[in-house]
Amino acid sequence: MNKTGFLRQLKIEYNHILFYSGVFMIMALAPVFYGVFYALPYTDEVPRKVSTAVVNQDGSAISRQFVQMLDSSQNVSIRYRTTNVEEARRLLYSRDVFSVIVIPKDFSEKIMRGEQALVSSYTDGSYLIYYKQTFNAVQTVAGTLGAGVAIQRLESRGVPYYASLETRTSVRTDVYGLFNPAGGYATYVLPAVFVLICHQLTIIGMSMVMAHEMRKMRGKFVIPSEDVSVAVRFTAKAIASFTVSLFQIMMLLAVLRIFKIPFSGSWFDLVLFMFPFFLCVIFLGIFVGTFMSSPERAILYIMVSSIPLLFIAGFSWAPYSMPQWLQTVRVFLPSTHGILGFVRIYRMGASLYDVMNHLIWLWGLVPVLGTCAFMRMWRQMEVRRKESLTDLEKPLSKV
Amino acid sequence: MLQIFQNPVMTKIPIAFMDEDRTAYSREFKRMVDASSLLNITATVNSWDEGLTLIKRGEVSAVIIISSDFSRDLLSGGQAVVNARYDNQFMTQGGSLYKALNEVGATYASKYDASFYMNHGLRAEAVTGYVMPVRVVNHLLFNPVLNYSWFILLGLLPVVWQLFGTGVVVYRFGSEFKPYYAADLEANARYSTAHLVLGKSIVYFIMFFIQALFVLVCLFYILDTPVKGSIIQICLGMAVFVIATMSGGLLILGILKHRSVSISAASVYVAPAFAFAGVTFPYEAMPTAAKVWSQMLPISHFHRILVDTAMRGSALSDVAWSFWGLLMYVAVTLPLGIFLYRRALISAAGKKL
Repeated sequence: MNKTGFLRQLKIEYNHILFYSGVFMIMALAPVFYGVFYALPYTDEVPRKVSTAVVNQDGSAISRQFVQMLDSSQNVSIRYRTTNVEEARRLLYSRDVFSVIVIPKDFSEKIMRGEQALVSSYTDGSYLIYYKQTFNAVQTVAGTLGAGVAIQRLESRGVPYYASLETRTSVRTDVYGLFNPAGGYATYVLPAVFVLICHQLTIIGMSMVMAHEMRKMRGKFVIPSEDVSVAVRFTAKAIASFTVSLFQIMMLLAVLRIFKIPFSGSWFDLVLFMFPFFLCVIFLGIFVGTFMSSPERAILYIMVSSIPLLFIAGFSWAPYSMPQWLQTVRVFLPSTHGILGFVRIYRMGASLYDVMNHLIWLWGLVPVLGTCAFMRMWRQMEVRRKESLTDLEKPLSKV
Repeated sequence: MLQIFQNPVMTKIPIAFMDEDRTAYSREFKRMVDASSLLNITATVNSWDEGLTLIKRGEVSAVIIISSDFSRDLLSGGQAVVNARYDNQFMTQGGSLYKALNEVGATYASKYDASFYMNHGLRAEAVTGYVMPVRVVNHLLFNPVLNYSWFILLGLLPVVWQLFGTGVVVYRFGSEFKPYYAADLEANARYSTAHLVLGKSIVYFIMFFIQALFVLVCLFYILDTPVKGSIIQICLGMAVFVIATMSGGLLILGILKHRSVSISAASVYVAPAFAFAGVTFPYEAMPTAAKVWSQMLPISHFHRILVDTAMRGSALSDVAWSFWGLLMYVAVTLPLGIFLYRRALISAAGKKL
């Protein structure tokens, strides 16, 4: 390989990225913009104080205590108090509230009689996050209030206070969520989405560069220069875009830090993991780009694929719940391994050994995608070279 | 997308079990876990570290730990403790696990609670009053089986369509900026460029409307999403949504006057719409800046019309604000879009002429 030729080609590739405004916008500016902008709705992490209406048909001291405890919980805010179920229903339909708690009129009576008292919770299931917040708040309040009642009952039967605390239920299940115990939405969604942003922007950028190059050559007497081989062009293109990809991931990691998404893994492992991921993405970008007739088409097609790629990765919906053919397809996509591996290292503190299956897949995809990309690029250059030579042989009037 | 969410409810989530007690009581608990439709014990571990590694590798999503004094505590009349740790980084699955693990624990406990209290002279029917004096009866409205595909696809499919629709409008209408097209258009349209733009728009409107109808067919007939409200109301909302999407694209093109730059700008505008539309994270919980931006996206208004009408059976009066939002968007972007696009077209033609 001619060293000077390679360096010259590398400079050309950097020029393509940095001075072609569309590509520069997509590969260098968009990660920062998307990073900050995409995180904006989730800054509060968890919806607090879900608007709730209480229908207290009992009106006793204990039912009022229940309502007071509910109102002081951080997940729920009692906005309306009524005794009319129909009014509460209307509030729910007009979106003034997202849940309705009904305390029936026999609530305190049942407690006094030593029976089980029921409280009904009606939650809007079209927004699962509201359901979760209200469910947790009402269950916690019912459990706390119920514990006090149960202990009183046991004490009245002669069971000492501390013993009654233990015997209220013979088996206690402590269920604890790991890695994201508060259920923060930003913590859940941003690391995965940011990897996808890098993936999509790199592919769009590379495709735009490829389409732009081909368009420049089309219809002109341009013979791809023979002193620079396709291998040199290919290598220079990959190196140039790899350095820009490093910038992208650094920007997105900075945004994750700004939004205080906790990092639990090792930076060394993360870097080693992301290396084959970016190689795959760059090769995929070159490969896809050879099929694009214009840079605009590249944006259009690749942008539409973003949401399916995010969900097929299995970060939101468990892979084993997908049909078998999709489970097979998803493992051949670098985005699947990139997203899952990154989330496991960044958020779950997984080591490189823990994400070895993703790493093996990525390294397996590197030569496959690399060969496909190189072959397509070589083929395209060859076709263009032959076309140019044929054009040159034609009389000027026929060209 | 329909294929991804083909199974709308998660079942048999793989979990690991660690039994340090190894008695009939712990084995009974294990059988109960395995009988749950949501849980599936796929691994047995001997230490917590081993279980944690499996979670980090993604091989299991939770670990249940039965400590060595489990049966001793249970038989001595004390309180036996079961520890369950689940992966809540993947929150959709985490939510199902939390519910399932608590349910299994409560079911197992109820059997021993009943026998404990009955041994202390309580009647069987009075036991529940001691174990759980206050019980919450949960009624999940509008989506009673917690069908994830109904919830997510009602938002996702229109979002994907909006991405596509905006992109196509910018791409196709932007191609008229090529000097020879623009000159041709100008030469053949002496009467009114605005009419010409409208004529072109109608063709795309019909095409997009058919596409959007197909999305609705997928949602309501293939996916069996309930339609509690008026289908005409949904179609009406969809028609305005299609016009809003097109006029938004036209406005971007009219402002930027360059197809390539406009496509990049359109992608910046519509690609993050999923986060702002209130599909997964509710609008009411967003900060003010995000709320303002959300109102400037047609999908936010249409999503509300679609969800409220289809799932909640809301009448037109209940979703009137969302209709107003969409109509306001159209009222601003459509005339402005046509005006600016027409000017850009004339400018492109002028360059050639």
